[in-house]
Amino acid sequence: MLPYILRRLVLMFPTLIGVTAVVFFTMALAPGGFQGETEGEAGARTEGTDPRFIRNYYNRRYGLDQPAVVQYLRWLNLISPVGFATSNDVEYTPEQRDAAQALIDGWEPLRTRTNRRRADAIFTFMGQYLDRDIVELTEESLPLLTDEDRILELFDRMDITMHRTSERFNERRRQLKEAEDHAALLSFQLTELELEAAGRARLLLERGPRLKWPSLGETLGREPVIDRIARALPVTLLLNVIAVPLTYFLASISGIYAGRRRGGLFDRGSGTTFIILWSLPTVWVGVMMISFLANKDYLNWFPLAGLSSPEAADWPMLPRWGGEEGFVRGWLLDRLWHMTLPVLCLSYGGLAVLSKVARGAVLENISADYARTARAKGVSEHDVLFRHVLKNSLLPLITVFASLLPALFVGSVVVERIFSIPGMGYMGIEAAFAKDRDLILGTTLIASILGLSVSLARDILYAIVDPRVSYE
Amino acid sequence: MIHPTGTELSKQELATPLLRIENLVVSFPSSRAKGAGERHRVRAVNGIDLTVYPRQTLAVVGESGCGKSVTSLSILRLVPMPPGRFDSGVIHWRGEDGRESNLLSINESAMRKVRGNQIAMIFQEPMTSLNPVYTIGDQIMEAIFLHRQVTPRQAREIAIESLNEVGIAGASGRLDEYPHQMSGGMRQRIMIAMALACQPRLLLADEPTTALDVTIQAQILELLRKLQQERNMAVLLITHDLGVVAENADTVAVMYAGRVVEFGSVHDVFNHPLHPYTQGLFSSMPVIGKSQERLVTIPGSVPDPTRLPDGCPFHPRCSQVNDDPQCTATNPPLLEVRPQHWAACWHTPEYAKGRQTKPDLSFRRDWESDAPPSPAAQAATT
Amino acid sequence: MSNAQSKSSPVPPTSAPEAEQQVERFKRRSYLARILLDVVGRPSAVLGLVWIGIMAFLAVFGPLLATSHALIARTAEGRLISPAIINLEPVDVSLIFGTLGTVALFLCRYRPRFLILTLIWGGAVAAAFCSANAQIDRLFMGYTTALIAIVLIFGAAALFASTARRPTALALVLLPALAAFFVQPPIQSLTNYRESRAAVLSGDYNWAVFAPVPFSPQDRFRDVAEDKRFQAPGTRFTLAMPDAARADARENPAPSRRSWVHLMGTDSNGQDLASRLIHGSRIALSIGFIATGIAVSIGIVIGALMGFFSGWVDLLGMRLVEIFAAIPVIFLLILVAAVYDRNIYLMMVIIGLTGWVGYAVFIRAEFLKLRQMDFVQAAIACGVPLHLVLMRHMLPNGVTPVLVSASFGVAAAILTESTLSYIGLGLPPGEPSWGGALREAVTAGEVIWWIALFPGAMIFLTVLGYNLVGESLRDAIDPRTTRAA
Ligand SMILES: Nc1ncnc2c1ncn2[C@@H]1O[C@H](COP(=O)(O)OP(=O)(O)OP(=O)(O)O)[C@@H](O)[C@H]1O
Ligand SMILES: [Mg+2]
Repeated sequence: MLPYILRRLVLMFPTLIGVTAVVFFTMALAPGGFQGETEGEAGARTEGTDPRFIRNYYNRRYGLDQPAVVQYLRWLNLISPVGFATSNDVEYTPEQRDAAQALIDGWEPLRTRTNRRRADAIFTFMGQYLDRDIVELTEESLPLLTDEDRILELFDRMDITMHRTSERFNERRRQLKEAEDHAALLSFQLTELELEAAGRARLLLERGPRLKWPSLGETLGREPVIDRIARALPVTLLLNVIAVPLTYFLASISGIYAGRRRGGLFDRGSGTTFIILWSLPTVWVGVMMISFLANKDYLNWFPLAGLSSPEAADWPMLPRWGGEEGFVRGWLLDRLWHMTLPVLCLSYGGLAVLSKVARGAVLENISADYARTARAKGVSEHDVLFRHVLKNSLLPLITVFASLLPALFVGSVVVERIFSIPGMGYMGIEAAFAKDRDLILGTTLIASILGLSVSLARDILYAIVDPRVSYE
Repeated sequence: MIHPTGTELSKQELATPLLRIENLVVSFPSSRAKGAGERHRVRAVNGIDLTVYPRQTLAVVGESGCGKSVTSLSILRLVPMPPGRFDSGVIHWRGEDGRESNLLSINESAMRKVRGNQIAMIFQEPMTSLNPVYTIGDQIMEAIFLHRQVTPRQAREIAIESLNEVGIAGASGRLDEYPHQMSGGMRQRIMIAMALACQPRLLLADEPTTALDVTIQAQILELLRKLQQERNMAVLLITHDLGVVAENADTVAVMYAGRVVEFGSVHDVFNHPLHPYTQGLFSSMPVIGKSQERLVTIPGSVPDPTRLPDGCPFHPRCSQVNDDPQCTATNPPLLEVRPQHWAACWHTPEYAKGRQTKPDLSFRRDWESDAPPSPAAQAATT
Repeated sequence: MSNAQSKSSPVPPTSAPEAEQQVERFKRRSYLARILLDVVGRPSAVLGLVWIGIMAFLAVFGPLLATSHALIARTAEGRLISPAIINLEPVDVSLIFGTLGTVALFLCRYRPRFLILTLIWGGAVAAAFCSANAQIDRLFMGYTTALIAIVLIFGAAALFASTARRPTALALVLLPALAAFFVQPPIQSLTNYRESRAAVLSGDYNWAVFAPVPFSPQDRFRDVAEDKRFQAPGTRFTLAMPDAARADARENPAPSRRSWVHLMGTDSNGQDLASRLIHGSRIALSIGFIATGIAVSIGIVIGALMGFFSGWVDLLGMRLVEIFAAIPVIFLLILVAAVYDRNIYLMMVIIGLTGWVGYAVFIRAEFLKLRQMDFVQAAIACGVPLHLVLMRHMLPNGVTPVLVSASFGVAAAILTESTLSYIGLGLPPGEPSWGGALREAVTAGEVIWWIALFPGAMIFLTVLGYNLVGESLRDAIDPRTTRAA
């Protein structure tokens, strides 16, 4: 079993690369690709900024204007635990640090306007832009940097490599230059450089691959993608962890009762109900629920959006009676109350599919030869059903789980959208609208890992339930 | 032995039937017969009478599809209920207390006490008749737990013992294996072990040896015979193999298209087959020492049960009919044509003088002296 | 080989000779034809088919059923004109006349005189419009020419059909229709409605007959009209309104459903919902069909190759299948919709490109089985060329289960489209998509019940229709539940 699992895990890698590649190149090869008007993300819409500058800023910052293949390879390097370091994550030796410190100490404008971190950053940028090792650079530029004019010259050289296009910034720079306010100019340029440097970070290929922390990159809002996903994923998982077992439970029960009396009232009734449920579009059900069950103008039974009431954070876990406030719903109950409609919306479709499968399986097994053998032994019909037939009928239910997964994903997207729940689906849509490359790729990666793990889990479970299957 | 051995039965008990089937009719809906307008039901079993005595082996022979399995399933009421249906008939079963009850009318829980405990069944399909997701041991012990008050350890012992009895080596290790790890023959033997574990008084063996090789086949039949003598178990043996019948049966019922067409002791049926179908069966069996150009076959094929011909269902294939109006018009009833020998054919000698009695024969072979009969087919065909 | 035998129906008992004949005829029908016959005999399938039929009718004839233009009007000069037909788009023209032509063609196969009738009818229509509207505008002349051309093509096709094989004839019919369909429709100018309406108002017409739903799907500013007939009841527009107020009302239109003028009310742009739903049926059906068609074709090709060659082709194919099975399709769709220009064709292609996996796996399994079968082995042994083995011997035997999933696939594609449109990543905002309509149901916490109800019901019923048909197909194919056969 273990070798099999390991083999499957190894086989996951090419698949994951394939999946992310398909997603990435689909987007990157679109006219405009990941570039283009980006809006809505934090910080991008400061008053009075030139949209072209913002675009350039993002392009530079994330290297969005690089060739698609380069971008993708860089991303792969980013997520890989073994890969090339970039000039961004240079570790300074104490000597280098001292050198930098000395540099700063010896130079007035820097001392007043920078702190240590800033100083580190300066050298990093310099290294990147000049394509030089930081140590060489420090040594080489130490004499250079004692002179203000020389340092400005250095920055000018950096500028050329950046193909600056923002006229407004050129304008501002020229003004500062004319005003001979060197300190302001330096500071201004440093800010600019800092903003624009990340996407330019040079891969330190010559140092060879090494172990490093995998990362999923940063969102356009400068938040690590992993943090963003860590916030969204539990929400989606929570919904599904409730919806899926519920679905399976109800489906098995109804499948058994329908299969037991084929053509009976329950069978026909549930058959009709389920094909109707199956055909109900989730968007419609969601809209109807939110319109009529959760709207103040109609039945105001459920909350309209979100996963908890705003004040729920102050509540105790469990409901409480008495006290000065009277009945307090409690955090748990509040959460359940908020989740009722989304979970219903998420599970009814799967319920229909599953109970159909369950019914078919029960029908097939209830008239199977081994069931007849059991009956011939004197086993009661109830036990035949729940001991012999049920376990065999679980097999197709397990098989079908993997094909249910895309439906669950669609369900999550729609449900989270309708009920404004900040889960993976909601985030995915946002990422798509914002063309947030790293977030999109990160979401894809995590979603596919989940999907592949589920299908692996399914196969393992199958082998556990069915002794005939073994992966030796 | 944990279970008690059979006590010697009194003469009186030996002469009382264990099982009597009277006029059993089982039908299935036929989706094919639609063209004719009304919804037809096909009679898979069409009014049969059979009797089985304790310690007797009744062999049921006949072509594929003639209703042998349905008959045996009916005894345990295991015919799938829709679509199947009992249209008429009684199945008298003599319980351990000596009282007779109708298996077709007792309630479900009483029936469950009979199933597996008093009447056990070996099914025709060994490959699919075991539950693939439970171990052999689980499945054998399930029956033991249902019908015996035993501890799990005792149940396991009984299971091991019955596996040993059917000749499975390393029985205690095999108990924890799954059916798919067994060959077809082993599965068949496990089915037999399962059926015998609770010491039934009647064993319904539906082609128990078809999947087995010849040596095992002989062993199994030997085993069945031994247990039969030890426990006074009656056996209803369904088979296509006339050799098996000759070796093992006391009485023989020949079925054709859902009816019994000949019934008698194994000697009578083999030495003087009366019905042309029986004769055909025997002549299609190779006889050692007699050289034949080709085996004789019965012309034609099994009739479609949805379109049985009028009159005798065998007449389109019968060698003796020369457009006899009686054969094509009326179905001959089963009559006692000779003493203790029943047949249903207008052309049987003395059929007209036959008595209308239920086929009922407590004959048992004396295993020490009795040699198996050999079919006198050549005599009959002349 | 045994496959074919076991599926052939046994002869039901009957003595009547004509019944025997019927049975014989029945037996001679292909397996597929028997399955289809079986399906048509199931009530639920009939229900589904009827609804799909209605939708298809709306999809084809929608432009004549829901339009702001008068269907027929008589001008003051006494001429009969049809503004509705004049304003048809090329897609509409080709669909409407294509359908009529196809129907005529099928009738022709049995009654050749229909052919002549069709030709006469087509000619008459063209002639009538030409003579009535010759001077209206050049644009119209263009359409008349197109119309005559199409009628002529149908005529030729029909002529051909009476002698040639049916697939060829069908292709002939569908080709011009498809060609016209794939021409991007011009964006309909809003002024068109107003001109037409102004003509009514100013008494240019003696009388006019309007469509059952007298509103075009994108007819927004109808309420400015001075005639009460064109106003949504309770409308906030009046002639006496000061210009500023009118402009304000136009800027912030409110949805309304006050009477039977707008059967299903209007949306927040003041567009008639019923009309939008009718026009939306074309989008839904065409996306369903074409997307599934693409997916099935890709699936069949890849699956057949994998199943037939197995080995490394299979290995490679399975990786591809795995990748596409692991992609969260809806996410990919969202991405594509976010990055590319939105239009219906791209939507079809993308839904098709991401949906082929299931079919491929199906066909692969079937082909793996079929490859072992004697008749395929025999065909290969006889030196039948590969493409013929695949196309003629294997495909017809393996394709039936795909039919089932295809019919569910159409339903799924419709659902996908409506989901995307609901999210706001579907068709461009103006297009009358069902899912897009649903989007407006809850705006700013306020529920507009008719927008919540009707578009969703349309999606639901159509999806249900396809699922019912698919279900019946599946039952018909499953030997355990086959009726009749
Ligand atoms: N569940 C069922 N539904 C419909 N018809 C059935 C069913 N079971 C049996 N039959 C029909 O009853 C008839 C007798 O079947 P049966 O299984 O008793 O034959 P058999 O004599 O045991 O044949 P074989 O020697 O092949 O086992 C057959 O025509 C069969 O089609
Ligand atoms: Mg049988």
